Amino acid sequence: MGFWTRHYKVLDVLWEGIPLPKANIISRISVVVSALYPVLYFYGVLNKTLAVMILGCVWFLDYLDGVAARMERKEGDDVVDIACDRVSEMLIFMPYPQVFWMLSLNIWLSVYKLKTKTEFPLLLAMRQCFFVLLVWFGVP
Amino acid sequence: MDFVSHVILAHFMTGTLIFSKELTFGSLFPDLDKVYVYAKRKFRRAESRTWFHELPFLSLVVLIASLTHHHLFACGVITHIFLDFVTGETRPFYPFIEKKVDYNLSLKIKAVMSVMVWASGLATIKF
Repeated sequence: MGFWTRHYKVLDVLWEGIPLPKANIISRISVVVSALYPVLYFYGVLNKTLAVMILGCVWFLDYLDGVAARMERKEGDDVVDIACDRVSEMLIFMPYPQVFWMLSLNIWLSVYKLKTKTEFPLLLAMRQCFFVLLVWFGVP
Repeated sequence: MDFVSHVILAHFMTGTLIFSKELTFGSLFPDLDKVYVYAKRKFRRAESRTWFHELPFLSLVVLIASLTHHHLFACGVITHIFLDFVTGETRPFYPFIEKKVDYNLSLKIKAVMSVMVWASGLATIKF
């Protein structure tokens, strides 16, 4: 179980009795939703509201696939979860080549985390920090 | 997915509606390992992908491309990663982790998607 999961796992009771799609489907949807960000950015229609909505949705789906995985008793499927997170990050940060070094670093940190099975929160919370920056400053 | 779909989707996703060699090369770059795997007679699913096709190596390629100011090439690689990830079977952290991520769509669905992408691409992108 991840470091943060221990803390927000208490919220799982809110989802009891609510039928959720499979965790894999939720993960795939979150990656597809992430793809909206660069598309809207490159076509010049992305504004602060849309950006916050997309990132908020991705963040929520990321949380939800963990809930679904715990309900399916597939807590050990870190590879799928982490892979979806990395692909989602690559898509969201596609318009910003200045941070590609952080994408690369996060992928290698993910490899290290998966190989050593450490629970220490090693990975960079890029999307979450970007969400906060978006809310405060708007779309860069 | 097929080569043409990768190229067209890369153009769509980056809003580049005039044909770009840099973007095309980026979107096809990960498939260079097909030369090797087809010679080994592995044509489908995760076995048809080498470490050249997965996140650890491609993240370095994207990084080098951005440092050398080839942003479109890097975007092409990222769109390739995205399309393969959501439609096929991958081993995202190969060769370090063998575990597969299987979102493998059936050949029929992939064929329909390819036809739709080809038709819209040929209608909108200026070659």
